[in-house]
Amino acid sequence: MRSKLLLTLLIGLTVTFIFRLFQIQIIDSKYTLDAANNAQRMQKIFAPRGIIFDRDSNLLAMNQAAYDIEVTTSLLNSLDTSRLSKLIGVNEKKIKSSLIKAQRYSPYRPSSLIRGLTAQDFAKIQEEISFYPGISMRRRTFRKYSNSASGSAIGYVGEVNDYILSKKPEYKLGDYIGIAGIEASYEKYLRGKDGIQYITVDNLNRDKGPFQEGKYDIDPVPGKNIMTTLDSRLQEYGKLLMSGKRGSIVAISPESGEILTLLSSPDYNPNLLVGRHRSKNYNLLYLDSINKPLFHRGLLAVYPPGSPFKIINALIALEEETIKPSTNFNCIDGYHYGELHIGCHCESGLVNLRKSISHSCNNYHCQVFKKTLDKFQSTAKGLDEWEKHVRSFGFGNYLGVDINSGRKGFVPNSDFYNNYYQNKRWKAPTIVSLAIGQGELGVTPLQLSNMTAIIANRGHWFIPHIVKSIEGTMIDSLKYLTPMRTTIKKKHFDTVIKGMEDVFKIGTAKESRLNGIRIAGKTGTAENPHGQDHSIFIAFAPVNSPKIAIAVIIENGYWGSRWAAPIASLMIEKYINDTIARTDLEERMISGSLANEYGVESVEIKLPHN
Amino acid sequence: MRNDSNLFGRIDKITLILYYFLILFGWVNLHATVNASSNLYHWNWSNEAGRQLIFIGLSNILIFIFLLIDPRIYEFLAIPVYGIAIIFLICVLFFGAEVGGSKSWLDIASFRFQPSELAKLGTILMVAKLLSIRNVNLSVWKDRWIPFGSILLPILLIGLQPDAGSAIVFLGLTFVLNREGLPSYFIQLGIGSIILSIFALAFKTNTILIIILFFYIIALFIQRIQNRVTLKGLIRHRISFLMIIAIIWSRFVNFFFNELLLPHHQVRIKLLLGQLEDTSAIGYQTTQSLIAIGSGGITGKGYMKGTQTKFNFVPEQATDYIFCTVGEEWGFLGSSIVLICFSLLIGRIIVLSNLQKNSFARIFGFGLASLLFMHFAINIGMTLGLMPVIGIPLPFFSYGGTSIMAFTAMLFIFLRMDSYRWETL
Repeated sequence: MRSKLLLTLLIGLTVTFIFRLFQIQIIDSKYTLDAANNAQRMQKIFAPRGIIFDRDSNLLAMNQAAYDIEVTTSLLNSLDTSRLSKLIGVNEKKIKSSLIKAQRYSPYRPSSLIRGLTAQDFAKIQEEISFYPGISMRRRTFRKYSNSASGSAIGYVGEVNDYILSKKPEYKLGDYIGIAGIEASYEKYLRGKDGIQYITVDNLNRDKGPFQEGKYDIDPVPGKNIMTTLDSRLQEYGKLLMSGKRGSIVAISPESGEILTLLSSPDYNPNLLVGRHRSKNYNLLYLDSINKPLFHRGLLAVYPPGSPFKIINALIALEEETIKPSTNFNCIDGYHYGELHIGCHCESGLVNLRKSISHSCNNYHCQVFKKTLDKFQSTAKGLDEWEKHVRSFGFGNYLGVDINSGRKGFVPNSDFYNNYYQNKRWKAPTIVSLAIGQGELGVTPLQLSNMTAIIANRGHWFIPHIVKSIEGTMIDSLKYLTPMRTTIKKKHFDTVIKGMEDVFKIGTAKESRLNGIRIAGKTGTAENPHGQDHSIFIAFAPVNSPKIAIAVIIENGYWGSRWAAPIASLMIEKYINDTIARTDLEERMISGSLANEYGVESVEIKLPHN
Repeated sequence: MRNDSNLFGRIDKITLILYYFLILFGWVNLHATVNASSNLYHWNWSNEAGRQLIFIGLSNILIFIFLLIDPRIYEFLAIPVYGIAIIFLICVLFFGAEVGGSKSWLDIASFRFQPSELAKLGTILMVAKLLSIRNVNLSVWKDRWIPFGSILLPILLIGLQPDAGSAIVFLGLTFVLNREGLPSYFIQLGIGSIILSIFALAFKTNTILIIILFFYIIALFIQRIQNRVTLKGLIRHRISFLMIIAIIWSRFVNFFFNELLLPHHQVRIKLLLGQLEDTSAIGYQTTQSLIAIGSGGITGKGYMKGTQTKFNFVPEQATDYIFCTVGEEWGFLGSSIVLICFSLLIGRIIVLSNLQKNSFARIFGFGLASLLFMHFAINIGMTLGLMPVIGIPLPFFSYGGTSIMAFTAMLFIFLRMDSYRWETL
């Protein structure tokens, strides 16, 4: 039977086929996975970032829709690149190179052509773009900062870079991360948790709707909303007053340590660091070595504190009982010790503690400083005791602020001078400039403002912080609620505060007097090796129940009462009265510019792309 | 039950059931392939599923007509039908519509058909006619030329279209010749030459020479020991002749592969031989086909729920790759049943043809079984990634009017012949 050959082959073949089916359908699970890879696309749903509010629930940072234009090259039949270029406003060369990149990445998957079009820009081209086959869009969210004055305090977000990717495995390429200010410090709360969406796609990678009605999708968990302690009204007013000037304003609520104002000037508009021009703008800001806009002066700049530091020295002397409030020193045109002479602007004569502060008598404080140090068996021992007192005011160390950028500043001790003067032959007069806040001392405006709050509280303080509540829950960290104590007894503060009040009445800042509110303040004129003296002022008000403690530093602003004192008093007036009666002074401050002093045309940050 | 007086009652029920099962299940799968892609389902007569339903309807009219025709007429119609088919095959080379690089389609009025399908009917009729002549003896060469020629002529013409797949199918008729007396070594030689061809493509020329010489010396050695052939006799022995043929053949295969085959055919063969890494475009069909079938699992993803089918991952799925739909949506169970049904249908035809008293009917039936076998083997083999990509349809399943009607016609001509067997009793 010759027909058996075909029958045998038929049976053999059928058995072979069934074996093969068994192998690929039952044994080998690879194909099931491949099928899923073919037909499902896992898509990340970006969790909306937490919103940032100021202390009165005004929006500081929010999210806005943005659009990425994507291209799937396999779907492009012919693309009029010049027309597309005109439509989306990107130059033709760039489109062409993006197309080549996209083709290389995958002709079947969408890859990005332009990123971060705003909703307005997108609306303009939305209709026409739908006529281009292979061009699609993807929605994502971008940050929008409503209060341009809070720039560097709030910070900004940016796409993670290779460094972050290697350090933090929980971030994936294309994710956003807070880079500066609150955005960076509170990243773990603001970030939220991205969701996953499974979508079905066909052979040309076209979206065919959710996979199994979204049964396996994971919803994103939005980031937590944060209420800051910032007062955006004050923040904006401060920015206005600072126009044309470099420097910083830091205001703290002494009752709680809440930071009301954290200004650095000149500042950038954080919206410049959002969207399609982000990297271009970032580079311009980064490379601006004259204005240093990315450098927050309030947190990072270290200045000699100048005359306000006399208050600390006076308090230390009172605590060490080297002087009494009634102690007098005769000021004859400043402090003389051997060949050393430190000039003084106070009206010469007998000066007591109160007057020494209101009139900022250099002689008085140099004498006090020397007397304090000499109380101990050695100057070195004296200086180390002095250092302990100074450090209890938060100087020379990080304050523990909830913003992860800051400087320690510097408080010298005996080791430092033993090192500095190799022969160890240094005495109180050698380092007497510490008495008037000069010399090796270095403080940040935030520390200076905190010092003011300590004086306002008569000896205790709360660690300054910038976040009030997270998602409606007040911060309950003991760290910010437990009062810190200085080494100075409460009773010693009264005299110095009286002297500080006199500063406005009869003293160095009487031009900045504010009727109706009792303010205590202290001017400062910090000599610095880089040019004209810095104008410094600290103040708190009202004297009996302080609501605001403020420190203002205007770089190269000549002397304290010229810029810093009026600005501080205006800030206090704004915060307490909400209206400004002294419009002439206000006008003078706003229009006053130190551009000539800095040798630049303009102090403002102007960028070509916004 | 066979002795029903009714003509239709004498038709073989098993074949009939298998035929209707395959053609309806085939359509059900075609329907899923075509209509599941669109999000909004709506019936459409003008797409493949709709038109296939019309072709199935027309096939049923054909069945009715063929059952009414006296089967004895085919012996007389064999030469005219074959002649017409050959004329069509020549015409298509000149007037054919070019689809996908080959001229396989002839447009007559608003109707488009594939002459190669008609040639299948014509050729098995012709072979049946030639071999059923009394005293034909295929063990001698003089009786071989005409049957050989009648098969090679359509192969040549179809090869010129070029439609390699359809041409190869006709080689299946060697089984018919073998059954009717052609010595088995023709088939052995055929299979041997296929193996040698694979070797020739897989190895370098020198390696092939060494392999051939190695087998030649072993064969000579065996001959010398078993049959005590003299050394002189060995050189003139047919083994030596075979060796020379083998060397020439291996050189020819290389020449054919490199010079005559189109690049995309070369790539397909190279892929199958594992000489090329299966990356994207070329191996895409096979990869996607395996993914679709492989992801079906035991019971499949459910009717119209196959993701690969729905979203068109497999190219040509309505025609050559229709079996993917079965694999994906009906799983191992469904596809095994389909394979077994095909196997049973072909086996049943072989069994029935063996029962024929009339040698014309017997040869015709066996010819039909051979053609169906070739289609089954090549199409499923290709879909399962066991054979190179040769585009031929799966009978009764693939979309295509000419194919479905040609196979229906051949099947029912044979069933009518089979039923006539009882009429003559």
